[in-house]
Amino acid sequence: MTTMLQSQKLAEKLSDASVRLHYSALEAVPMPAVLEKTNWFTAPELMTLFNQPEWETLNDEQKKILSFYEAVNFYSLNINGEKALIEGLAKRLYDEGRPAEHSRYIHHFLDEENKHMTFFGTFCMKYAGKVYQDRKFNFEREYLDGEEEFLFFLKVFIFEEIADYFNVKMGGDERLVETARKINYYHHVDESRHLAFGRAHLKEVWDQFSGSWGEEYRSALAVYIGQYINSTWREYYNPDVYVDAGIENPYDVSERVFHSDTAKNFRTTVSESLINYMKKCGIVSAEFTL
Amino acid sequence: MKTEAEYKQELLNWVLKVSTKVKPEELTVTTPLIETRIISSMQVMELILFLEKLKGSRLNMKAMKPGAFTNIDTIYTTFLKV
Repeated sequence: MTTMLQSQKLAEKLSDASVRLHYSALEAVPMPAVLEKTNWFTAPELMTLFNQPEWETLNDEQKKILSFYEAVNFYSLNINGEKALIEGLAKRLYDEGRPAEHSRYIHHFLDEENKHMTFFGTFCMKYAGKVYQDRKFNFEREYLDGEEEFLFFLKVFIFEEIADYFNVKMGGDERLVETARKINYYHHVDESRHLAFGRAHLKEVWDQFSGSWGEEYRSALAVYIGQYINSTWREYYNPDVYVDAGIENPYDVSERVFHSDTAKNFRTTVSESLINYMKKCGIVSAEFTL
Repeated sequence: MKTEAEYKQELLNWVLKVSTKVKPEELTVTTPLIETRIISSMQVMELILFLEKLKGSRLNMKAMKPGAFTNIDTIYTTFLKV
């Protein structure tokens, strides 16, 4: 008799929840004809310039305009990440050897990611007239046995854990305009299921394959993970946002703020739970830091 | 506007600043950067931001080919040469 993996049992429960909680993206999130930039779109304390010298030079109106473009950037980086996610998930549907429960859940995963891109994309195009393009660039390479599956879900895990921190904080924040609040709320509701599945599957893939990858690979992996977390965060400090918000010297501001202690401390706090999970699984050592 | 030599020197300095995998005396404008993992794919985003700052405008990501990042010569020719 074959033993059922934890992720298979979980995938069944998550599929049922996805059916029960099904919603229409464009009905769930109100998208009025006009959204005045006199609203908050991003919580001030989550904005990249908060507690930075530049913050003090901005008046309330300028801070709200910046909060709009930071929201456009947050939605854009989610769109860019979810495009790659959808591509990777679709490729995995009904793979030989993949449990049927996984494929059933991947259908819901895909449906929900598409909904997120619908409300993120509608917001960006309707109110900003654009989606910020990403600067990530991947080089083709060969993988060890099980490595591609592991790295795919590892990157999804890191990307979604960071984004979810913002969603949780802003999904119920009454200071934000309703459209922004609901986008964060619905994104979090779906992502909490995606994260649960991803965490379970990531650990199973790690347990199954990492023993054959060797000690040298594990050391290199820790470097890779640190760089991936940093490059994921780097996109939050997008100079295009500062250009649109009228901030002077946008590239210098982006670089200085990203490397500042204030920003590093914030990122360390937000990244703590995802790093702790990787430590618990043995993916990185107890000494791992950003 | 900077000269070709100045741009290449800026790029050499940048590589030495971000990478621990190459010594100054080993790095030239034709040293392979990606193949030898002097620069990782994760660091390419930082490089793109640096190039945009040097150039003063956004790079077209869609037009980018993997060969563009082979070495400092190819980076200069692809992104900075007028």
